[in-house]
Amino acid sequence: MVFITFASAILAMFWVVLTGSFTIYNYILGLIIGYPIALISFDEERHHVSIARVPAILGNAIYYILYLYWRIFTSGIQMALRVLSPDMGLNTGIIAVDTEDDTDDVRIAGLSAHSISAMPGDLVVDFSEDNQVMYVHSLDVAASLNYLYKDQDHRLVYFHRIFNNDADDRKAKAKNDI
Amino acid sequence: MIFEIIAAFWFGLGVIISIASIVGMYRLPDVYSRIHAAGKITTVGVVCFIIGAGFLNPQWIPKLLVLATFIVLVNPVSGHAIAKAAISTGVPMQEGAVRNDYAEVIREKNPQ
Repeated sequence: MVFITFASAILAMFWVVLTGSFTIYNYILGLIIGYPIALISFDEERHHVSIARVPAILGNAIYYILYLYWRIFTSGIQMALRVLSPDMGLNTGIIAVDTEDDTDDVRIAGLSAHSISAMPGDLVVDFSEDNQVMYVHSLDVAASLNYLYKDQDHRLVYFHRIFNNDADDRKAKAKNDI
Repeated sequence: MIFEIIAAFWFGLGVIISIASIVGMYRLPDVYSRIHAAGKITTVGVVCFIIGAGFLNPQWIPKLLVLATFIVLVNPVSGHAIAKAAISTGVPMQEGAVRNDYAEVIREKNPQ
């Protein structure tokens, strides 16, 4: 309930900005339109969120989005410089990268792939059947191998914070599964 | 006046970056490398145009922010979609590719 209300409030904000009329009636209209969309988009029982955790989740999500913007901007510039240089430094290949995620959360796999595709010279081309291995096309294999695994560890910390998966919770879950 | 000059600067930067993207499309050897050029560089180019438009007409800034957000978030996904389509239909990489971890997946799918 909390999460859906929150999501529809955000959708209503987008509605207000895109329609360009900043009135409370327009915001309420946005809520009315956004609520059914939020209702069919989110599975409340599977992705339960308590109110106390919302600020932490929001903070981490905003930090991650700003980091992603910065990454995409710099990677665009680097790619532009690379294709304009006489020797493009090409060393292409496809590398298998493990998501190293023990929760089987497809959102984490998807966001990891999105984040890797935002890097200069890396692009996720496919997933394995169980969504655990990403196949990354790289323009410079040797350079990519240096940071791909390290960055994945760094990202996972934020994804688990955003998606409300505490390390302790995950350990308890793993015990129950056994 | 000063805002128009700043806007012109951002438009010029956007044009240069978009041209770099086209140069990349020609120079890079295979489909997968070309997606890098088409996806990443144009994202930055379009964002430069959006910043320029913001200077030209400050009333548009909220809308432009939303527009920039959608473009930045969606462009890597479209690149992935094209790459996935290419690899599913068996488009090969260039001759000089140094590593291909995907080859075993293809072998498992089509055992000869």
